[in-house]
Amino acid sequence: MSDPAVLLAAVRASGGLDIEVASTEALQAARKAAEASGRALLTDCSVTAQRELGRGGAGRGRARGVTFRWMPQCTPSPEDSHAFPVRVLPPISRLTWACCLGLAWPRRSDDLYPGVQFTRAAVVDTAADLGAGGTWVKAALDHDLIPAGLIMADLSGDRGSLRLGPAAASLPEPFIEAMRRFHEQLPRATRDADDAGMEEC
Amino acid sequence: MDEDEPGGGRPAKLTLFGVPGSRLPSGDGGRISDRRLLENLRSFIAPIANDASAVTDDPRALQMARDLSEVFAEHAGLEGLTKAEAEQALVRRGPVDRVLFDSRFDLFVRMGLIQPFLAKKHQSRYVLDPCGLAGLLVFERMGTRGGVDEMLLLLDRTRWLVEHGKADRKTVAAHLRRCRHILAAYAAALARLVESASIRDLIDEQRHHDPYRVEQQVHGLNRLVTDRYQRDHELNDLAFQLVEAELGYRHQVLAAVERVLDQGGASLDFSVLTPEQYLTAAVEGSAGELEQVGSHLVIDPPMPWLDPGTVLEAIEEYRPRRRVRTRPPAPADSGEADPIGTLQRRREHERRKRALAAESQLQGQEIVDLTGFLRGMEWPAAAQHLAGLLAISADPTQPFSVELGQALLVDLETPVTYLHPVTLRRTAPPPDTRQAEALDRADAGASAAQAPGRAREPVPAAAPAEAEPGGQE
Repeated sequence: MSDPAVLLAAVRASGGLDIEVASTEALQAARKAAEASGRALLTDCSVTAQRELGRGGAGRGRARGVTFRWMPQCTPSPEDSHAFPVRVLPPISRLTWACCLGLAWPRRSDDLYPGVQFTRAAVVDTAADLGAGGTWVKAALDHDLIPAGLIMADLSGDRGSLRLGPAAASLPEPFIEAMRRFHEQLPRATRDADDAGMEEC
Repeated sequence: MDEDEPGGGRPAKLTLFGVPGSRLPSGDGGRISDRRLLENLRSFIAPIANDASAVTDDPRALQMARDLSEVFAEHAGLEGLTKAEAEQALVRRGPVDRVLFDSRFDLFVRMGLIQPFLAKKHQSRYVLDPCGLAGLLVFERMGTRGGVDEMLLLLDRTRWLVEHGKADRKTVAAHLRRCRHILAAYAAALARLVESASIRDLIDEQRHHDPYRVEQQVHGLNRLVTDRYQRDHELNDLAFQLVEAELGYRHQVLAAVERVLDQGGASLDFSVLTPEQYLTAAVEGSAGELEQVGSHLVIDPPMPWLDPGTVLEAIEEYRPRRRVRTRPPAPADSGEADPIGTLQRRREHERRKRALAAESQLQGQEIVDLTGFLRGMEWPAAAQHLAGLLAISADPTQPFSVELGQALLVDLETPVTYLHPVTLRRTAPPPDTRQAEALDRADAGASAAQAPGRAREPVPAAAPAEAEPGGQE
């Protein structure tokens, strides 16, 4: 992909793109164009990418990707300004996102991204401890959080492994710092990991 | 989107973006919201503020001040208005929040914006202080233009003073310094905004500034000072420093414009232009020009927006499910778990206390006369003591008895006026008590025999002799 405009469009459309599909020149031009519109190009996140595997043929895997993040002075805050309507996730999806954050970000002093790997079962169990139904939690993962790029399936791990997605890598710094202040309120896993892993999801 | 700036001077043509000094007329005269106006006024009030709440956060208060000022100003009479008349006049203009009106009216009276017609107590008619009205106008202008007009006014006045020779050298120097300070302050504020402000705030701020008019004023002032004070090196130096400050200020204004053009224009941020400018472009622009605008539009997919507040709300909305059953809290009125046991313990305590008192009275003897002791006591302590003695005498488990004599002792001078002789006697312990004690001792001896570690403990000598045949042995 040598056209920076196409590269930017692809990143916008997919939320995160395998960095190997873009040439260095296109990346540089895209970075400059993105900065002109208040976005920075982030090139150290993980994305799910189609890969040519050795003898096994084509497959999906985790790859280094490129995505957008807001520049600090351009980060919108629609929750404060109410300047434009935004799509707000339903409460169950927000709770599931909080559970994912709690599992992927165990230590407050660490960076939120990339975080640690976790499992769907752990998310379901953690949310179930708070009274959320497993079906709803799985639906929130599959229909809200994964399509939004906040969570991605970690195909390099076991079945059901998840990790934070490229949209989590581009979270604004104020959001991360606010969540760091309330880190102890994030839901945590209480059951043993082995027990959680045994549950069929 | 291009600017025609021959020789770097004033732009000759405006195509899309408004440049400083060429503001397009807008329908509301550049008026901003009252909330924004109050935010701008906080820094203005700060030098004389008593605390951080000196400026109200409620935009309705500002509107109430405007309305009240207009009501007083439009009143035809010379003796002012009463509070009720002012409220009625406000009601005729629109709905009025009575609580807000009362609080603001009282505050305005206390602060002198509204003053009693006569400087006496309990005056019901009020007039508006012109200073307050002028202050309201100043606030409107300061809050709307961010004080840029004041900077231009200061430059203009300084130039007028020098031109007409109305000020001495010291005053001119002070004015030149003040002009330089305010230009430097605006340059620093603009530099901060260029680095950190959102494009919207930067657009709002740069629209207030008029660097070309400032340039004309400063350069004209510099020429005047150079002409009039040719041999005054200090004033010439101050005028030159003013020119330098103006250059820095202009540089920052242009940097703000540049960022607005680069970032706002490239991103096709629709808030860069005013609605009037869009209307002008739509009316005067060709179809080809308008087509170019849409050809570079970039639209993000509608991704969900996450803010910490909504995430925390979701966490608080769900409560943890309890895994461990816990005992329900005890009722508040159950102070004692075993009331019968408590009664028995209390009764045993009373018996022991009386027995100890009787032993104390006997002092190791078998019999003692308590008549004198009781006659020396106060009333009703004597009766209570005698009742305790009679109770212990009636208790078959206690080895005490009390005998009352037949004689009657009468003494009108003492608290105990009538009394029979009282004798306390130690009796033999009851058989059942001795039997129980013997059983206890036998148990202790048997335990010692069964436990090797206790085999060498001394056993009371009386225990085996008095043990029952059916005991441990």
